[in-house]
Amino acid sequence: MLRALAVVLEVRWWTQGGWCKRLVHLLPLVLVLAAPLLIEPETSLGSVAMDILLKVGVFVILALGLNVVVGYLGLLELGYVTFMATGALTATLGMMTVKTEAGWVLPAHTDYLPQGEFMFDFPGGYLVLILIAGLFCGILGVLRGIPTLRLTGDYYAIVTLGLAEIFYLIYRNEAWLSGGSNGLRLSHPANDLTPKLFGETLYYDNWMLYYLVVVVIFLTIFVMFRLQQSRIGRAWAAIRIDETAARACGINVAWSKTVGFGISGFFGGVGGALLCVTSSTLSVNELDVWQSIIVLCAVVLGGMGSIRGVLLGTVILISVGEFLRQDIGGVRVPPEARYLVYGLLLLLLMRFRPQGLIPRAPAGHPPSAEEEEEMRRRQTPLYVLGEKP
Amino acid sequence: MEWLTSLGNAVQNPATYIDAMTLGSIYALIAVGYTMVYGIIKLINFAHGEIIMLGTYIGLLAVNTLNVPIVLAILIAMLACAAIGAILDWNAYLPLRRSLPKAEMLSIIGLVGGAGLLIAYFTTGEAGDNMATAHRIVFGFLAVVLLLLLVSTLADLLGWFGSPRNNVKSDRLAALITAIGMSLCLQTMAHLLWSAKYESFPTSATKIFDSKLIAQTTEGLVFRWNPFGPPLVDAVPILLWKELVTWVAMLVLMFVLLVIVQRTKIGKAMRACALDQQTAWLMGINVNHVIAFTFMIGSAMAAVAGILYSVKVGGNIYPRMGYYPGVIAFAAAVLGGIGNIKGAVLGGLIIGFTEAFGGAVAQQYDKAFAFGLMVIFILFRPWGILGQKEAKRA
Repeated sequence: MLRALAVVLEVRWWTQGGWCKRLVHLLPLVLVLAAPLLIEPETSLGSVAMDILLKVGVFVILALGLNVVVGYLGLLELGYVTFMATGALTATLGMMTVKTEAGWVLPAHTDYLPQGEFMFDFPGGYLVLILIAGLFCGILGVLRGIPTLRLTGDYYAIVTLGLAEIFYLIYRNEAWLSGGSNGLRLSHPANDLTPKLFGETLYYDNWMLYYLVVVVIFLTIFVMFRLQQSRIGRAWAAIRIDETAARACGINVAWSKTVGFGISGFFGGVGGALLCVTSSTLSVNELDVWQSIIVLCAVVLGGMGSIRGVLLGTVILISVGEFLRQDIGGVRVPPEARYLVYGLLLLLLMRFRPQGLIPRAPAGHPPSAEEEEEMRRRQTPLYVLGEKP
Repeated sequence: MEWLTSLGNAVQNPATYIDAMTLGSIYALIAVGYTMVYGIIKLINFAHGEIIMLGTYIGLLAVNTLNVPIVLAILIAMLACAAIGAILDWNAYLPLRRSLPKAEMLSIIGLVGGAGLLIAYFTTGEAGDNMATAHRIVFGFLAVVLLLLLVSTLADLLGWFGSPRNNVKSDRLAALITAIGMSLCLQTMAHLLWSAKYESFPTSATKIFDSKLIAQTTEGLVFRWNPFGPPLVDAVPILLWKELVTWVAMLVLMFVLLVIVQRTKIGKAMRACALDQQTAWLMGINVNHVIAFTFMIGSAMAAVAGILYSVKVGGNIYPRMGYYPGVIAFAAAVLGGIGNIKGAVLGGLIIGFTEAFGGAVAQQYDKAFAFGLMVIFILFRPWGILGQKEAKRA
């Protein structure tokens, strides 16, 4: 039981290998968990650091979700922002839903909230909302994915871009749904709607939100590792390398792809639901197609299809971008500069290191002696069958 | 059935048709650039939208600083954009097709250094006293770096760095991501240089374009062939000069383009490259030159389209102005059959009509109709109206 748990939690990362490898794997974990000891959100520098940490955290979840389509399935997705916006909208509207005498009211006006009982005001209601947002976006991902099953390459990219633009126009113009250009305000003078968890308010200067994001990140990484090594993960790899060959090997291509789209959408929705509480206002206008390009840039920088790479890429890209937005030592870099940095990064990476900072493990080769030993030790079914009793 | 009524009004109103034709002509001009580049190197040139933007800004600069008439400004923008298109190809896409380490290093230094200095130039500090000197120094460096970029591409073109090897590592996904990166870069550079505020051509420059050609007065329709005469007051405009100019420009440029592609030597080379690049190399065609030429033609067309677009809507010049026309024109190229020039014109007109009539039904969703049409076509008829059906289209 304990051993199974250790395998599941990838404990071997921290217990095997040389001290250098262990340190590399252990240091980020310690830093992430000990962040409250290092940062004081009350100071101005601390609040900036908190802001950056939370943004990086949310984008890690988004990038890992996008990685399913871009990295595992090998399709260039340009419309990931749809899931972010939908997830954020679902969570925000869920928090604002009020029960009055007339029935359930779903107000999207910024200056009007009917009096009554909030639907998700019970303890842990926000967690339920995250799950709802994720599931909703997962279904959306499946529905959007089914018509595009036949497409690859440029055509998939341009269709996702077109659909994302249509969704963006709908969200931006339907003010009854998204508040239009004013956006939806969560912290309201009349009713403080900021979500709570275990009696603590979830806001960017509060550690409860930070730990919530950290827990979700760990769950996401865990799910991604399991997926990568599962039957469907190997099916995705086969589809990415050669779809026709995969079909000939008996892989249900349509089903595998649809599941991939659904999972990708789910994490996009979860990320969006977390994104909307990091600031008090949800403005759909800001969630345009360039946001999905930023997430794509993070995935490409780290290495498409490699979990560690995506983590590293997101941390570097988002923190550099957020640093460029801040006032550092009285010097003010123009805020647009980060887009120039993102664009240059994409250009240089594609020219010199198209596989990313930490490339994925090469697929399709026989296991090395070391890997073979590892598989035998972990009792992978193939080796269990081959071994003498 | 409110939307049906407004659609009926739009169908009966000649202004909708005129608007649709004008929009369609502009989209056709842009779509040609996409379709030719895609036909040869199978790449969606995402940066094409940014070339529209740069062309419009160059036209605006020419009008504002040199006080040239707008027709001359269009010519200047065409030439400048042709150069930009070629530089874009040499610095972004050519290194993906083949490897030439020395030339690459110089172009990288140019790109990164230029971007870094651009950021540094607009970084403001507390101490404002030494800023002017610093800015002058930085601007000098920027000029040197740009010169380096130009010299390196020129030297590369003349073969001073030796002969290239074919690059095997690149694939089409890498090229597409490069295009997106280039688009981001150009957009942000324009943002830094000219700021995000909306600009427009001065009314004195566009006076002729804005004057009425056909107008409705109390005595019936009035034709005015002289745009320089006294303005028509108390007349409802039916057709403006700028709309006629847009249609004529589209038709003339398309005719010129068809002549180039069908009747000249470089056109023959372009068709050969679109069919089979390897064989074209073997026939003695320098494929890289042909691709650069394709970029130049497409970019010149985009400059015309950009200026006519901003004259049409009366302003709307800002760093992201190229994004929507660019993507919608790509939709037009797909609609007509990508790789097909006549298809691009047809697709542009269809998309123009879709957007104009869709906009008459639901004002905010005019672009959504165009995107929706594109999605439907890619899903059900990816080879377009005039294109050839292929076994596999990736």
